[in-house]
Amino acid sequence: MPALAAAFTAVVLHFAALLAYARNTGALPLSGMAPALSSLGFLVGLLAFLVLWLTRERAIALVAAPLVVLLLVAALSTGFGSTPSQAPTRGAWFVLHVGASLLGLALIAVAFAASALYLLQHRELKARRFGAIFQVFPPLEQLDRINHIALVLGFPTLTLGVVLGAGYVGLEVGMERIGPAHLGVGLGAWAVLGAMAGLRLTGLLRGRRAAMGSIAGFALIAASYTMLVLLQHGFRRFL
Amino acid sequence: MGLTLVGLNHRTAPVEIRERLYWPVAEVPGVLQKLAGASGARAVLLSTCNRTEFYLSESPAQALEVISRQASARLGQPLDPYSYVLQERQVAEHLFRVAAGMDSLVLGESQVQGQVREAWEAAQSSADPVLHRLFQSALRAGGRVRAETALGAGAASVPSASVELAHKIFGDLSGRKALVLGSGEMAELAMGLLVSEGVRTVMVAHRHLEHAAQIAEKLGGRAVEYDEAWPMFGEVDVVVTSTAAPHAIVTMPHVGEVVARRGGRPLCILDIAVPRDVDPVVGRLDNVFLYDIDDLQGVVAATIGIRRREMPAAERIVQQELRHFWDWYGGRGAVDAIRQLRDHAEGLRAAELERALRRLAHLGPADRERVEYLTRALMNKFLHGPTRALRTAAGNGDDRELAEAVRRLFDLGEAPTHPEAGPHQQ
Repeated sequence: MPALAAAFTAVVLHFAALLAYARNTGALPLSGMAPALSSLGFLVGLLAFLVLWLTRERAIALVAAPLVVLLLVAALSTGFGSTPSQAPTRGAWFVLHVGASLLGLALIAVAFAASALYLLQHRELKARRFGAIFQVFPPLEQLDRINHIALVLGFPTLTLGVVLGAGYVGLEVGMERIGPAHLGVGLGAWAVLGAMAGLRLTGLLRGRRAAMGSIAGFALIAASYTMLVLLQHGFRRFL
Repeated sequence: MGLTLVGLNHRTAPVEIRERLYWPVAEVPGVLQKLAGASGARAVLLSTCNRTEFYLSESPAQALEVISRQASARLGQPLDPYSYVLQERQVAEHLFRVAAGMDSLVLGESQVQGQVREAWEAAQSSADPVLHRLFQSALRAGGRVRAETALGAGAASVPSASVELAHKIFGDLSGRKALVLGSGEMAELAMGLLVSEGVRTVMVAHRHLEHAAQIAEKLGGRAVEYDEAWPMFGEVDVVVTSTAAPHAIVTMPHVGEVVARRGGRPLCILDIAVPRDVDPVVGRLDNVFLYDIDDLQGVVAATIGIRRREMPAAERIVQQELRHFWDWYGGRGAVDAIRQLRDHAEGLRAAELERALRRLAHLGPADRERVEYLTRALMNKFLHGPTRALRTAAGNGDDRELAEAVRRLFDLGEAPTHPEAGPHQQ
């Protein structure tokens, strides 16, 4: 399957680039805006590849690939130069906090990708149009299942990220060094995802509403992080 | 006579002619035996609802007359107005396209591949090596077209479009529940396909319970009273309606409340009836996907459009496989003729050399060797022209007549026969 091979190659190359970065700088690509965005892009790509591999549905790439490209463009425009860090340490707490948070965000991105495809396919099926989208996009229930799994896995992952973040702040940084916006966005993202995952688990949210909710949640989180990046400075600047 | 095809198909003959000339596969060996007895022909008979075709190889000319006579007798009228005859390369090209579904009434349908295989297997004892090779190659071409193109993708009939729509909503249909309202051949076919895809619980509702029971038995389902059907709209995943009602029977008052309680679970309603059974307003309910017969035909049309776009890719595969077959088929005659020609010349050379050397007994071993070399060189020079001409003709696919001419000119006798694997000996 050429799509699977292409996705695998892209993920492997991206991983190799992140390894090369880690070797050159002596640090994991988690600290600093550009490395973190690149790592997030890698995780989104990896998860999309897993979905592609497990379901053989190529359409997921239609949303995931532009998302990864967007993250990489953002990373490249930010620049991979050394980021002066004012944090006292960037040890295991930090690495695990950022790693788990990025994985949680990547899972939300996958839920977003599945939701976007869901809404498009739903619209085509309701409108009785049997063109390219109908032919190429996966079945609705499969997209809903991907959304469900991504949200339900994403929430505990992001929860872990938040807990580790709290540990990092409490033990290594100190509460006074963390801006309220940073805390607000982190906890806000966690709360949005928690609500979504809870509603999905209880069966109160599914299908089109779940898709719309996932897209709204993803947009809210993405907008909040962007604002945080643009408005905060110094160590309080996110990442 | 080389490869020859005589037959009729859905383009040349109406269904009332085709159905009379249809031979069930069990009768095919008998038909071929009779043909062989009457004319000595080696043949394969491909008989389906859309075509009846005799494929002949190296058969005497009267074989066509025998086939025409037999078929006309079966038809009760002359075969000629409906039939076509193809020769040599056209025969192979036609069969490859047939096996690939490119010549089918429904473009890209896959059933014909199995029918070609059955025809070949039924002719195991009547086909000669050329026909075995021809059918093997055709099946390979068909297999490649299906594997490497989307010519067979999607739904190309109303029942299969029903299944495709259900697939696009639910993905895997295993364990899904379905309800059939009314009866009708199309609805039964659609539901039969859904059951074969894994739909488990089938309820059948009909104004007459005994009629519902008959349909339910066929589908392995359960008959229910007509009025019991409405609450089921809250449970089932797929509803197929096909009643003879003159107006919509599935309306908002019947199912609106029940469907609203589904909690966002999708419901696929396939309304195959004309006039329609389902009020279009029902289709506006959230997560209800309502399709009528026009929509199903729209799916079919979209599929056919996609399949048509795959034709150039399929054609390329057919031409590749045709080239392989024709290289073998064409080269086969040339190789045999060249071998016969060389054997013949070598025999003459050896005999003449022996006679000459008996008269030249005074020659020493070195001179004898020189004489032998001379005869061999002369022979090779003489044979170079005919050999090259045969090879060139084989490359162009028109070596058969030249090979025959060489055999007659040099008195080489008949072309040898080649044993080759039949369908059960691979």
